[in-house]
Amino acid sequence: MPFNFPQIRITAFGRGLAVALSLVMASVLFTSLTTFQQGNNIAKAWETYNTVEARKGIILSQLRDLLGYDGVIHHYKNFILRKQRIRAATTYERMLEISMALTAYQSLGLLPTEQKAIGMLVETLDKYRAALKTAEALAAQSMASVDIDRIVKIDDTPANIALEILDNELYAARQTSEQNVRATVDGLISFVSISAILTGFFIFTLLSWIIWYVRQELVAPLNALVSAFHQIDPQKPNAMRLPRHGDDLEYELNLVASAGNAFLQATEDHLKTLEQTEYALRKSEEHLLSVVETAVDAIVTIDEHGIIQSFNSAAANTFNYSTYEIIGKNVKILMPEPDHSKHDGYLKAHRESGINKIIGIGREVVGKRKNGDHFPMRLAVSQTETSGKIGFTGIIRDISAEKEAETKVRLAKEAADQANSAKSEFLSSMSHELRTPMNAILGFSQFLDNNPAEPLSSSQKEYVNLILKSGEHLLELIKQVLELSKIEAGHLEVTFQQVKIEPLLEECLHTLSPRAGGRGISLENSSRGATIPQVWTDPVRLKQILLNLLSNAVKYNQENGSVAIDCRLMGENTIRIMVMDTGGGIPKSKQKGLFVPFDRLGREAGEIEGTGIGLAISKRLVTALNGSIDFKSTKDEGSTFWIDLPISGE
Amino acid sequence: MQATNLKRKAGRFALIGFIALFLIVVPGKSRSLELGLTPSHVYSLWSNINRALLIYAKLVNIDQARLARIESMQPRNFEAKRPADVFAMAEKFRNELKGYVPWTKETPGWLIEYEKVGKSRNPQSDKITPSAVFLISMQLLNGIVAVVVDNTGWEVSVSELYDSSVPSGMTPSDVFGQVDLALRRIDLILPDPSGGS
Repeated sequence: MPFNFPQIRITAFGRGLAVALSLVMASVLFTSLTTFQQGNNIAKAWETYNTVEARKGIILSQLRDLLGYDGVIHHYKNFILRKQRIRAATTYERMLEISMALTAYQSLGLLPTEQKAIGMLVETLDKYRAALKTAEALAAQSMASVDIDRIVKIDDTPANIALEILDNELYAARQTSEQNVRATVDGLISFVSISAILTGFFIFTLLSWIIWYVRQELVAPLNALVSAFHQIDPQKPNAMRLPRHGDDLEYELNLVASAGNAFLQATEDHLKTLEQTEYALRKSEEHLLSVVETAVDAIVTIDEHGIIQSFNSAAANTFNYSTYEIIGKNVKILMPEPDHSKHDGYLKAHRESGINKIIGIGREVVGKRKNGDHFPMRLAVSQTETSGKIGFTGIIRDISAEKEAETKVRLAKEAADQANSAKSEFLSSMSHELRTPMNAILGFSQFLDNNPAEPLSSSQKEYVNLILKSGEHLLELIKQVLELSKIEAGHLEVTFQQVKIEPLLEECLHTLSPRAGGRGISLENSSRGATIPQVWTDPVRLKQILLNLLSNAVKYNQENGSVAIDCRLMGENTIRIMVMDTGGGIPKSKQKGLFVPFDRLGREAGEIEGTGIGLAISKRLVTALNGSIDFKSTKDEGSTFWIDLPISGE
Repeated sequence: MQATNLKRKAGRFALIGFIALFLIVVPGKSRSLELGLTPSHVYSLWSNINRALLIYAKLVNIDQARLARIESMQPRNFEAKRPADVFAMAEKFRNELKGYVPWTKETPGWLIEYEKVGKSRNPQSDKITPSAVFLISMQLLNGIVAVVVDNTGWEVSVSELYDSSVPSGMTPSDVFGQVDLALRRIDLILPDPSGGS
């Protein structure tokens, strides 16, 4: 009984697990993204600290240099004191550089206090620029350096104050940036810690739940199922029902249990079917064994190497071996030489070529009994194939009795043939020997009857006529016996040639017409005028047959009856010649012995003369002409005899 | 249908997240020297250079006709010029005067430090800013003024060569016109390499 496993679908556990894992993943992702974001904030804060404040620091340091030694003030003072124009140029170079630095400082963003400080610096630089221009003009007028210095004296205190302000602001900004970075890092650490704790707690809870669920919902019912499986009785599997877990029929393990129960049911059904089939097979086998064991013929099976596998009772009786002593022996033990020596070779040739000339063919061979006696047997061998192994089954019949009977029959036939031949020889000789004196008797009887010199008295004449009539009958009898004996002795000579049938029929009718006319019987040729083909036959023998049939038709006809002869084609190569009379017919009870020699069907004592050999001779002659003869007869209506002859000799 | 929408939303969310992560992780393109200087600052420098060139022309003993031509030259108008174009012209100018003016080509050390601090800052960036043009222009002005100062007396005012006034609204094309003017003047000032006048 086939069954289908149900489709197993996603369970609540699977869905719950998927949701929980999704939450874990979302939590981890959220934590990661947040951490990234916070990290980015820290990076930005650090960059601000590392770039803006650092750059301001660099510029501030450079401003001190550009204003101090080798700076604006230094070269300005030197120009005034030494009146070297290149010092003025260098001063302007430094001023340009200071302008560039201040522009860069401003580009980094300024607090109001810084803006104010920058303004103080620019103002101081403008003072120096104006003073330098004045100083250069005074120097060109050859004014003394001391005088020039007194005129263009510049107070650089505002510049120093401005640098101090910028230093303080920069320090404060650095402090703020550091605090911002530290606060952001601390926040990130707190967030990551809390997230890790929460995520860990969640994962721990999830794992605990998974473990609990797996133990409760999977392991326990699986153990129950395994235990149930162990308790299944192989002979009665359906006696055990696999347990369900809870009431949810859609739960996979319950589906497994249901499928398992269905499987157990199907298995038990299958086992029952197998048991029934096995019982039927066993009965069939028993029946088959019984048939084999009780078979009249000996049945021997061998494997492809000739080792006997089974040996039934008939075989045991035939060969005089018991079953237990012959099983496992080579089958050639049952064969006399030369088969005994050659049989292994036969099997080997069969194994190699696959050809066996004796399979399926019954043949007569010689067997050998346990006591060494040989006996004729008829052997039919068939090939079997079981589980891929070739085997042979021999069915053997001891034909010793048949052979013995055959020999007896053959000997009896030979004796009969010899006796028959002797009889025919005897008859032939005797007929020949009888005819000579019979001719003398008839000749002298006719002479006595017709001798005018010594006429016979009426009583003598009557006696002589009786002698003549009896002699002629005897002569006819001898003639026909001689003919029959010739045929049976195999001395019948037949000469085939093309024969025109119609003239032959006319000739026969003409021959019989005097006898028929004497009794007022009309003779008719019904085929006259018809187209009759020539026939390949012996005309003398055919005429002899037809004369015999016509003679019988006339002889056994009634006074003033009629006899007709007809001829017609029967198929392409057969011609039928029929002789029909209007006699009294042949009783059915007598028809059986019609063609038996000397059987006159009870008319031996009648007035109609006959030898009882004519039809027997006719039948043999028709057979010699490769034809057949038959008849039909109706009481008080007449008989029809016919012969069928082949048209051509082929 | 709901499942399909949910999938689409999830896919969109993942894409946005990926892009955000990419923008956060991948650094931006590096910036070149940027000090907040404008083309107007550069223009001011090249005005001083052209003034210094007129003085330099007198120093190299050229004839009056050529000097008159040099003095009469005016800046030409250009359009759509970029700081890089100006920078290239400035370098050409520097090469023209090579051998005549001792250039101080080194970038100030504090500027190198300035550009080093902070991640993703690259002082060798390929983008030319007005600040970079200012830097090379300042060096050129200093070099020419130094030569002028060495070869003149009090009749030449150094202060006149360092006029600090900054015109407003100048563009790179305007600066390019000043550099072009300086180059054309140099062509007439410097002796012809073929030996002709």
